[in-house]
Amino acid sequence: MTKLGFVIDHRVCIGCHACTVACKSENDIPVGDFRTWVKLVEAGEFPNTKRSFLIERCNHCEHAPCVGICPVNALFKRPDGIVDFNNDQCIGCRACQAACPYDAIYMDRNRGHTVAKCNFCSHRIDQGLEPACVVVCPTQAILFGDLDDPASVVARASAGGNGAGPALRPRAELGTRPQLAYLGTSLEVMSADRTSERAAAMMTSPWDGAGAGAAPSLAETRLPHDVYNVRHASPWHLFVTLYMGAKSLAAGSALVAAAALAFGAGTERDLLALWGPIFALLFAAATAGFLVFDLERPERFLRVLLQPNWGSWLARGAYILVAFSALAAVWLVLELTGAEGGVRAAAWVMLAVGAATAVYTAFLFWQAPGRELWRSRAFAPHLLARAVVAGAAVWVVVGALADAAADLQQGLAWALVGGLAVSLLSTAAEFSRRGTAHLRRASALALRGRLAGPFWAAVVAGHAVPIALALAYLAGGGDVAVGLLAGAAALALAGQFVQDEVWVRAGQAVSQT
Amino acid sequence: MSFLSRVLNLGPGKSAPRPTAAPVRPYPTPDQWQTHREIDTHGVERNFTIVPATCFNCEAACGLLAYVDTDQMRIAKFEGNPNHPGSRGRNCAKGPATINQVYDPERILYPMKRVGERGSGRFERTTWDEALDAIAARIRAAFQEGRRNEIMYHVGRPGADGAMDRVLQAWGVDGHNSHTNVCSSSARLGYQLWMGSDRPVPDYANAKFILLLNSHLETGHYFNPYAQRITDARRRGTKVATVDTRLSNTASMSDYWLPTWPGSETTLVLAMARIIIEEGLVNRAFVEQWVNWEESLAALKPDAPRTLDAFLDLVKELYAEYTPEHAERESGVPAATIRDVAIEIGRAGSAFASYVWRNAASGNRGGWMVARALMLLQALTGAVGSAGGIAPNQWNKFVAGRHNPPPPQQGWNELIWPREFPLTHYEMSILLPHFVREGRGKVDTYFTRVYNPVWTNPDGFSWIEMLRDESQVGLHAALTPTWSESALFADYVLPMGLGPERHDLQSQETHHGQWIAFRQPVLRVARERMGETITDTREVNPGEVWEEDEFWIELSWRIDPDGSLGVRQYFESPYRPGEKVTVDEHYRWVFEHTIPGLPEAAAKEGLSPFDYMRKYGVFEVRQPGSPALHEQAGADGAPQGFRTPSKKLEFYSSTLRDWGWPELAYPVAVDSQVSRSKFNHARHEYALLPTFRLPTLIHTRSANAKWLNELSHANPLWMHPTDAAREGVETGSLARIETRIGYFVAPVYVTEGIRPGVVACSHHIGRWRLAEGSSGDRSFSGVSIQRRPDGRWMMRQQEQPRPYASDDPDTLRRWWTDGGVNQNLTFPVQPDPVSGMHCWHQAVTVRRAEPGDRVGDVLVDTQKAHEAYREWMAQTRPAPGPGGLRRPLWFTRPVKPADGAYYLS
Repeated sequence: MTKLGFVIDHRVCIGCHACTVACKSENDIPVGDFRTWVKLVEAGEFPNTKRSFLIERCNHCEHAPCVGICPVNALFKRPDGIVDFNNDQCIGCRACQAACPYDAIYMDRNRGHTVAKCNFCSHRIDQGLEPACVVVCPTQAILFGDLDDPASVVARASAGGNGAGPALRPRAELGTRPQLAYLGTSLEVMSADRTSERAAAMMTSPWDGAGAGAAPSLAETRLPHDVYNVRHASPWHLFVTLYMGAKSLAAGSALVAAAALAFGAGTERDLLALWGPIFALLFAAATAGFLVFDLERPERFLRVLLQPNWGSWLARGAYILVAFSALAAVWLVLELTGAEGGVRAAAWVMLAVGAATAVYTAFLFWQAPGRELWRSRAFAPHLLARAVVAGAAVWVVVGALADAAADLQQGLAWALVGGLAVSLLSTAAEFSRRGTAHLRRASALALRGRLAGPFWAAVVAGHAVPIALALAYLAGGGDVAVGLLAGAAALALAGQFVQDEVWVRAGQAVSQT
Repeated sequence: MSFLSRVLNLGPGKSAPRPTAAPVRPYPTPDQWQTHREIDTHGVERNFTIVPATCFNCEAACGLLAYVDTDQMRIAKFEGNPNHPGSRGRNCAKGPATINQVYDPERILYPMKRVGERGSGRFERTTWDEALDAIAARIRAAFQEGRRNEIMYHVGRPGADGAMDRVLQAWGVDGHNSHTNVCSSSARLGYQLWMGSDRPVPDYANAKFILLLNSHLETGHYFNPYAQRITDARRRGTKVATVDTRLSNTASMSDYWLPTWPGSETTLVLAMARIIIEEGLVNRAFVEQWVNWEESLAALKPDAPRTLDAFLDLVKELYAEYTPEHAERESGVPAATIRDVAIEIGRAGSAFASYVWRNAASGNRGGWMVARALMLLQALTGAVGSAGGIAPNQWNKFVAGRHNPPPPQQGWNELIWPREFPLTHYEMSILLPHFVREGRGKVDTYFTRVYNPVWTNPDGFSWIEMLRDESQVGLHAALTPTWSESALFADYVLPMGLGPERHDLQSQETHHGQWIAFRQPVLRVARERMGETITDTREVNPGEVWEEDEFWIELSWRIDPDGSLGVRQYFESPYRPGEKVTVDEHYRWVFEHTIPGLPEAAAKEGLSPFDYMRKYGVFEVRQPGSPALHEQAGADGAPQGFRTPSKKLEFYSSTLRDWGWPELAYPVAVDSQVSRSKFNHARHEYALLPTFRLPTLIHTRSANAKWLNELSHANPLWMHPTDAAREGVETGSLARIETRIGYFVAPVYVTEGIRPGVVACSHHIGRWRLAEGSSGDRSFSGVSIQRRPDGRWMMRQQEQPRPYASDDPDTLRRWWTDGGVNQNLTFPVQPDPVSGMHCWHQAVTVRRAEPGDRVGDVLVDTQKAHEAYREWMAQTRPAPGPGGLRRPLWFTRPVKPADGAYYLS
């Protein structure tokens, strides 16, 4: 087997950016995007100061997260080890960008807003030509070849030797098995979480990429910090939050109704049995709408279903959403045709399908190994609890409008309290994990950083206050106005939305390069 | 496209790689260049013809290959030329970025003529015929009226070896002016005095120790070729020491970083020389044979015996006070480090290479002494003309002859070569506005060729004052591929081709070896390969962009249409007597007659010499290797030695003594205008280093390359944290930097990469155009320029660089808004009294900006600038020298006039 890889020798790289420009020229890359770039890091106290260079690019991972998460196989591993992409196939979901631990992927505006990254100049390789960066490099610092051939220059170089010390692979702890290795550099330069979060711009406008806040203070100037890097906007933003919210509402409204029907709904059976599937379908449609609308190429969305990558939780999730919607439709038809037993059976099935619908997104986030905040085991139960909260909240409002019986409202109040309590515990688990600096920085952003305002608002106003209101409602028996519970429901929903937004943003806010 | 194929991807899968046909290689081989098919990054199979070109971004003249798409007749990309002996197929960022410049939507495509008063910045399109006739008429009148020296050609980047010398001498004018005294004339003088060559060629690849007073791993003459060879040496274990006040990338990669206080470098290097002698590491045989030690003894210690030991004792005495500890006090570099480096140098022996070109030499009064001191190290170690050492540049550069050479001019232009500076190594170009202001003369017709004095030179507002005054400059024609600040003050802006759009010849001394490159307009070659006949490069270039070779031929014919002025004869064909020479004929003659080995190499391939050069773009005249030419026999049978009066390396320079500088006749430290004792930080005083470069840019020629601009577009003020704390600033704060004649406002960049007490601001960045309504490049800041009632000039940025719509979608994708600040406007001229070099470093004060200050603000008082000029002029020791000479006859000079012109009487 051939396994093409790069070894970049930072003993001789002079930080000239020729590779960057030759790559732009060869690959028609828009201004603002890069397939390879040279990060500059300054460290040390005068006169023991050093400015280090690090050539950043796709690592052509053996276990490439981008390939795993791509729902339509637009990214793929070639037999020769190159991780390549297919612009004609890409739907522009940006999941690969979220999944890549090296910030190596961008959506190419010269290629119809579809995926692009270093692909080893595969078009040149296929014609027997070296990659453009290798050709241009004045000091021949970029080596490439077959890692499986022990005689190749890269195999020998990555085995160390020549006093270079061991070859280092970026973020090796993530298990991606990069086919790119560095000589003559240090983890301090290579790992974004070992350099300061603060960055100074030596020759550019200050960049506002992930993690780069203000410049280092005067006392921190001697600590390792970037003085040149490339900005990387977060690939996922508001529409992902909206998608999460709509899905939580869909799954939750169906789950709550299904649970009530499955375990005996009391006096409000008809309300739940008719409107349960209707809400499920409406919110599922909204979920799909947000998903599709967020695509760079929405007209290609059906490929997720018709040409899926079964390993991708985006594709699996799409099928779960389809199953969920189909089940809700069947349920609705059964209810309209008066098949009560059938509805009850559908409700039992919905307990499983609704839960899957609520939870699968946790596995999608798990497919982004570099975004360590997102890799919390608490997140799956958290999503289920949130769906319960969202569903209960929907039915509280509906119940209030329909003047539903008190037993329903009391049941919903307990669901709200229980769901919020689990959600609170999950939140605590998610943000108190020990781990790498990357995780600590992401958590700190929410706990005390620039996302602390919304985060604590979601905890207090979105959890503690509604729990208190719901408990007050329950304690009051039938004497307290249902409006109190509706208020709790509204706060819980708002809190969920805010917390999702914090989750999405904090997970991506820490620089990966 | 059907619905289904829009929804689904039914095209051929991309997942199966094609079988790799051949082992991977960097380039198609030359036999494939004529027609080459290649699948591009979009998967489209395209037809190319590959034409060799020569990069024109920096001075290194690296080889390029232009991939011309023959279906669209458009250049697709540039790669390196593997046959080029200097660059060996590899390039820096500026090579491939050439494509940006070719397709820059803001480039000048047609000849332009000013509208309104000069300096309004407004232009309208004109024709080449109109421009040529207007300019030719003026020049013809000047010739007929005996005002030949009112014609001046002022060049930034020449790009062609010898071509303009020929034109100017054919015209009989002493009108060559250059950029060199804002660049390298200081180091050149130092080297010239020692070895009769104004530039060393370090054999980095074979050196055992390298001492850099430059940043050859990132910039400078000749960055890419030299970086390659320094790296080759480092791979073999060669250590590198870099002397630089700020942490260059080169310094960061070096084994030793010696961050000197500016102006202390001569002291530092002489301390090393002292250690080498004390440690007995002198190459006695070399010194004995090749250093003018006897002459030195005779001049400095006439009573001493004429022995080598006596000479070495003398040197020890001369440098008794140059102890490492003294050097540490002056420079801040620890004595132990100085000692370690000196011993490494001594041990490297004849394989020791050092280099200074700008850096300390260009920053300080007496900077030329840095080169003198370095040459002492080279001489003591015997590392001149040796493998791993340095060699005179002429040994490694090949300047081709041209047909029918005109005789040297008879006149001497004192606006360019004033008598105050008899030893200046190059033209006193920075002083032109002051000379004109003093009434020393005027310029009737002024050509600037890729020369941007308004922006680049110190005291740019004095240039603006001169250029706006039609009684001082009668006509200004700017020959340039791109908009520049100076072009805004021209009457004609004449678009000349970029590197791949013109002919010329370049040979650079990139290593011990010789080559000559043929720059060619690649679309012209491509279309000729497709069977077309092209007789004028304008036919193939974008718009009506021309090339200088054809322009000068045409202009010369229009100046002297009937040949009566004696000019026309030099622009006639060597093959068709009496007819206008074509560029093809011009170079055909050169290649057939002047380059040894080329006709034979061409014949071996069945090609004419001209077709050989069209095909390969470069010819290796001599393979790598270090010939000891000084040891070879000259015409008289004796070793020919060096090109000095003594034919030896001159430790003691009788020339300096005879021309009024006896106290500087041997290498000795000269007090810099920014030496350490002159600063009191409590009064906010700092030394400013305004010259350092970045690897991605090249002077004012690269701002039109979007990829380079994207990589670097800000020039913040580097400051050490202790200085920043003292002034209450941090990274991003605005500072006001006040010079003797004004101030500029820039953001601060706090770094441990600079010596405390010194601040630095990169050269290249801070380009501007006039805001609203003027021509110029929209990627620059738009500024307003106002003259205040008190006579002071105020520049303020009204528009930041911003995205704009054009044919290139990338111009709307510009994400940066910084344009930097044009700091050079605020510097007075500071001509070194000996070398004439502008001493760049500035004594400044740095304070937090004041309320109302904005980034890029510049305020200048040109009256103060003129006062500073007078003070520096007062330090000079004017000609005549011995025998009534203006200048030593043995000194080289660009476009050297007839000997008679050297005499003042």
